[in-house]
Amino acid sequence: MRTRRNARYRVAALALATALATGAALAQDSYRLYVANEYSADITIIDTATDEVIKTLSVSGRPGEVRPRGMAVSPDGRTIYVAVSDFNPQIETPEDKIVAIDVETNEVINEFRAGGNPERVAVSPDGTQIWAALEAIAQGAGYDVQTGEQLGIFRVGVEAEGVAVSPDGKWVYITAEATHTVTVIDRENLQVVKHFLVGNRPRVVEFSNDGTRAYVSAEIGGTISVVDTSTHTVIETINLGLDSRPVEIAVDPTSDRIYVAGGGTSAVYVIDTTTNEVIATIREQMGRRPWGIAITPDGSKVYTADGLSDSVTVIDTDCLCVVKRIEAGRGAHSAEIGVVPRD
Amino acid sequence: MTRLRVLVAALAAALFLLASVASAQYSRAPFFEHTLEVSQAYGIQLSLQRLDALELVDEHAEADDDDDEGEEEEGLDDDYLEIVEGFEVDLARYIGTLRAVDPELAEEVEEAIEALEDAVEDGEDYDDQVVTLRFLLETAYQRVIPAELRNDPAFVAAVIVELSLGEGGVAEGYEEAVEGELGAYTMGYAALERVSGLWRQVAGRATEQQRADVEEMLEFLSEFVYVEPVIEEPIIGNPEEAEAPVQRMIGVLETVVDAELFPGRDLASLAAHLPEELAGYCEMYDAGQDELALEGVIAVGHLYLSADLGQFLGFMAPEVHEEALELIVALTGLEPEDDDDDAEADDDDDDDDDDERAAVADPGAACRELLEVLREAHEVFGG
Repeated sequence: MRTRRNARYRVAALALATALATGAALAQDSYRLYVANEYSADITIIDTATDEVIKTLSVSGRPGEVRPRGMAVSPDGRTIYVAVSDFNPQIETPEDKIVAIDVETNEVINEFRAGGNPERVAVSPDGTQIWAALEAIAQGAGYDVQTGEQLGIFRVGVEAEGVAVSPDGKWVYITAEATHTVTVIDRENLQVVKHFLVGNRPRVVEFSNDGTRAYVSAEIGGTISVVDTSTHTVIETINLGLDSRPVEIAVDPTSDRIYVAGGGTSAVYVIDTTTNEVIATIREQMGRRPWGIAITPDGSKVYTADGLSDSVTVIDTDCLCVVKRIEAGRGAHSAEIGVVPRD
Repeated sequence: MTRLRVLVAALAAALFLLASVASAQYSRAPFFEHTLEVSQAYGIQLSLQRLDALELVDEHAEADDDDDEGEEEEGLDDDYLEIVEGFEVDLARYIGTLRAVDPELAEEVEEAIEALEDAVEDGEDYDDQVVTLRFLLETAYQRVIPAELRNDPAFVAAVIVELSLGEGGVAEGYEEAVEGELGAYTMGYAALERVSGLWRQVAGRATEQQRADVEEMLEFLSEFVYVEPVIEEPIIGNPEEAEAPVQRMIGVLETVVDAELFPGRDLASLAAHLPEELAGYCEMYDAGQDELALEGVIAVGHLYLSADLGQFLGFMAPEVHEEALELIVALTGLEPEDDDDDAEADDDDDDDDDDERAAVADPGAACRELLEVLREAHEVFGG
């Protein structure tokens, strides 16, 4: 899903450079933060200019039974996709679906079924496909964004969780918590090409801006696996500490940094990807159990979704310090940023 | 085996990298250092927990009878029979050692379990049998588990992990309650009480923040997950409601006792450890010490199944996993968790799984076969 966002950020960064060159300021686009609240079954929507909540959007009238979790954003930033599922993975219900939210109106504009307890989603760089990790059935599936037609479904590891599409659109990576693996799907030929081992209980995978690397967080392992995407092999493992419990990763579209939400230590780990070293750990004033994380397209702010304090923490990336806490819904799980264009 | 060699090659580089950061953070690793003793302690504690659960069910039934002012119902409801059936499986985890150190007590424990099972089967009141068996099991715990381990915070924490995440534990109890197993819920409730008690043994080592974190999770579990000891209807909701706080609690517990409490965190190390641990138990079969050998095989098999090694191999090297699983089930009667994608392995499971061990004519030979398979499993990780 972040792949999607990263792709958009790359576009945005290029547009920014162009805009600056022409004297126009792309910064006048406005950004909105979306936080999926697992237990209140709603989405907290925050204006990143003011860091105020502008809306809480319900995705189900059955909080506690139905939950929104992972999210992804379209390449133009205008649509947020949310993985919605029943709490009970043993039961197949119509609640297993992917919901599309229009960023400008903050209304649900589309939804389609994705059976098997979708946990996280990713959008292809051309914006035509959504890929979902189907937790309950250990499968990964691709869907047509417009029609919801299932394009392919593939066996992946047990308890599929994280999913990302490479910036060149060739590969889909899907993590699996219980087998500690990543499965690589050839998106064009619609076939599995490889499974490989990463750290214990992998959660989220994200590609680097140039697509040459992928980063996989391992919650129990306390690590980030660095993957060479040309060979689909782990080339380095970044140790964050066994108590760190890393989950979501935000790739900075404007620099070589990645930001990792450390649920165990209520911290954000800042990693320089040129050295693969932790250059800062942000702990002070953080919310409790940051699980989701997102970064603004201009790279100036990082937001975490804090599951135990039901909050969003705002981090200034210059000082690498917390500047604000915002109340969210119950069980803040994931974070994603949409764009409302200036026009 | 060609596929195996390919897998070895594919995994070797990744494992080298993983090993380079593998846990040196904590100084202790009780699941590796005391594989057998943790399993024995879990077995006895789980049996004590069964007694706790039976008492809770009994108290609930008596309260119901008082409310109804009608005829008093005798015996145990069918929903709770599994609680009693589990004593035999627990027993195999420790009876060999108990018999070696105190044969009289071992015999008394066996007789007390049989007496309780008979009382339940006959629909009789079982209060006295529970009291007797509790006393014997408490004594057995002292005899089987050395004092230095009983007082070792890392060891106590490992037992907490088993009672939290293992069969009959806090997480599983709730999960099965959602699936309609009322007895599992009461077992989970009892597990939480036992875990809370064990936590108090090690809480003195915790910082204020660590203590607050663990106790917050325990309070959440008791206030929102296990709100009453007995339920009349299946739970509707998230089957993993208990697992998330349990996982978080164990993460904090690791830092409190300075011990690695996720034995599958480094699967390669676990794959190396299991055949090393098993080898001696296979020799015990050859020496005619079947009960002692079985304790060890159960300890090894339990780790294989519970620490995700089986899950991983089932996905990456299914032929190896199928062999291992078949032998573990045959030797120990342990059952794998139901996995959505483990259909091939589960195909062999049928309803007749009450005593899979009886099918093994030569357990020594089966143990050696399992040893070879586990060595092969280790080779998957580069040997």
